[in-house]
Amino acid sequence: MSAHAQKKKNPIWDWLTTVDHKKIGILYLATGAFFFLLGGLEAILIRIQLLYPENNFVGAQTFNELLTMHGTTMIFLAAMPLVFGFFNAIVPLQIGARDVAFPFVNSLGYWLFTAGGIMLNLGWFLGGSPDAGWTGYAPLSTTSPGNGVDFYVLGLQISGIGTLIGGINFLVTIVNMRAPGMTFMRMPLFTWTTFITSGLILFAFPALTIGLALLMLDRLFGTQFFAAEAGGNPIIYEHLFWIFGHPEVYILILPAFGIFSEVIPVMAKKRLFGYSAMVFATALIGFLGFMVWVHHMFTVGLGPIANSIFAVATMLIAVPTGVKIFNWLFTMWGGKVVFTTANLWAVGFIPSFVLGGMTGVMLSVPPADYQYHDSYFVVAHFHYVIVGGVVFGLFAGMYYWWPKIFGRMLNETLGKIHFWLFFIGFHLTFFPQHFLGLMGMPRRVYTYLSGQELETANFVSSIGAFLMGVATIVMLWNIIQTSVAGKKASNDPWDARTLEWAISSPPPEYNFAQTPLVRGLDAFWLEKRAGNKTMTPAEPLDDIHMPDSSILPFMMAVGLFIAALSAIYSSWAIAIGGLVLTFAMMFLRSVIDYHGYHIHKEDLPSEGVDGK
Amino acid sequence: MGSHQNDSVSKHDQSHLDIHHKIAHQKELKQHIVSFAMMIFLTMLSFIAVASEAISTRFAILFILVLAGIQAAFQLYIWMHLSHKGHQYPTWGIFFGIGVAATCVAAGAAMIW
Repeated sequence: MSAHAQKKKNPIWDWLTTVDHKKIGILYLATGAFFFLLGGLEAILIRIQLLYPENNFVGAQTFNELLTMHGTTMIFLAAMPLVFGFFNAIVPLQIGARDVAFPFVNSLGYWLFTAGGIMLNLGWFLGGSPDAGWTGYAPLSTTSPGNGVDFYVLGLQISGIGTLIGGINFLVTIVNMRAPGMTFMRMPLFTWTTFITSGLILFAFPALTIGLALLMLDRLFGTQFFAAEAGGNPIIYEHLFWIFGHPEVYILILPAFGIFSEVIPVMAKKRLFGYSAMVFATALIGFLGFMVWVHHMFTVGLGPIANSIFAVATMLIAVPTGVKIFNWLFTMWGGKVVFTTANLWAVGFIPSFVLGGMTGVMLSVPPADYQYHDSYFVVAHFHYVIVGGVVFGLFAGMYYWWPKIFGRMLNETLGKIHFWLFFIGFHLTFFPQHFLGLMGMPRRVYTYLSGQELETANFVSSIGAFLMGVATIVMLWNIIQTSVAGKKASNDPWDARTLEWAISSPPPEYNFAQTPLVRGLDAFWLEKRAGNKTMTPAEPLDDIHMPDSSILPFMMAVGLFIAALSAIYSSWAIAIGGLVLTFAMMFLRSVIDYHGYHIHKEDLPSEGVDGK
Repeated sequence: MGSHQNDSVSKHDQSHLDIHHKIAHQKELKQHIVSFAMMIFLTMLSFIAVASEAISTRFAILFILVLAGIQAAFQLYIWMHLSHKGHQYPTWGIFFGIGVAATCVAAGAAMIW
């Protein structure tokens, strides 16, 4: 870029120490993609096992481990970091900021998440993975032999801390670092959903932390919080898990909603229909998300009154969600819709997600839920909302923002092949599972008997899963091919509306040479309509203060990883050593002054606000 | 607030502002004194509740918990200025957090068998 250019750093050292939100975003996306492939591989193995009745491809124990790790990996290690990857890569750009509020904490969040993710997967190499389901219900989890569930408990605990501080970081960033003129009601919808999601993370994750801490005490230190025979109560774990768990599914879906709300208006060349209703619906979904957790526990036996109250609360959520669906439809209505790959995912999302929403309302009726509970109907339902909603959203975001993040266009033809293969594979896999569930096939069981008319649907379901696998290979090929020989992306390849498209692709490390002035919703679109090529600056060109990179976050995560791993094997001396390492790094962070450095205005390109 | 040129407040307007500030300040001073007295009074009440033979232990515990809630509200609103402008985020955060925490406690205490 220019003269300030730090002496060429070792690239590995650079990535380990970076506090730049764009690089951390790429780290999150890469790590999330890796775990997504891993979770997908586990899913394929599950479906091979279920290809035929009484199949013996993997045994019952391995099946339990695969199933547990598929769920845990997909939720905590794939969907969460991919969502955080987009938060990091896009939100500071959308609000016209130079970085997040706490760059150091941002890096710490990423490394804690990664440490936890590795910890969770260690079981594959150390004699047995977690096998108590992604929910880790006590007493199954407290009595599970071996160290598998210990990896689950401590891995999730560490990555949970990372997620929590990441959420706090984005709350503060969005409250404090918006560009001049960007009022709350001028924020892009993706920023809004990030804001609400971060709030949900802040309030939901502590419940998981408590639940896992109690589970850890039960497993590693011999307490009996969840042991009924000793006066404990396993229902408390279920409550804690779902008080976290239900907001968690909104933590995943709301950012996807945000991505669709960015993609659909851009691809329809119309402003988002009902912006304020969209904001209100997002907030309402987030709020109601805390009041419905008992619908995961209808069959626990809490009584008809509790079940009825939570049934009604659950049905209520269909209202703001419906508002959103109609607003997307009305945005497309009468628009000049271009079916780019990103938009295909967005359009494909609507019918898929509505199907999942429909079965959700069916499940919210307690008497009916007694029939559906723990059957493949539930499996079909949550895959329809999570794959049809979250994964489609992440793919839409990937095709939409790839040029901005990496500076190269993805191949649209390969993208469309990816979409159609995945879309067909997805429905082929999960649509028959509704009927498998209604016919009585229980979830989480490693095989089924022949002659119960379960064969055909299971076979079709597995074929669909393989198709999704093929689609993923096409996506990987697309990424590899375009990163080698892809077309360079312009600043604004989609003729888009929000601030991130006003700067170069990929953005310079300081994002905006001059903080932009925001004159309304869809700030960049307004400037383009007014005949301006770039944003109007809100400040004179000046030296730009940048934060120092640091190895301390990485070392803190390493310390916690060592502590947790040694605690599992009761090597207390080493465990204390690991904690000492973490606290020593925290001490260093407190006593060393980080002054950052300046990029001098003489070294900036003269173009001004677009940072070319 | 009146016409002001070159971003400076005229002498006249300035004296108005001063009076407003003074009134607000005196009002706040009064609030502080009242709440201080109230808090001492509430503390005395809770000591009496524990010391007195006439009040059952069960009732005393509940009573003290209620008083503690009131004290916390005094602390937050009067002494930590939560009622002032620009405190919407902390207020939202505190109350939503209290709500979720209370939900957990209620679920763990009442919604089990």
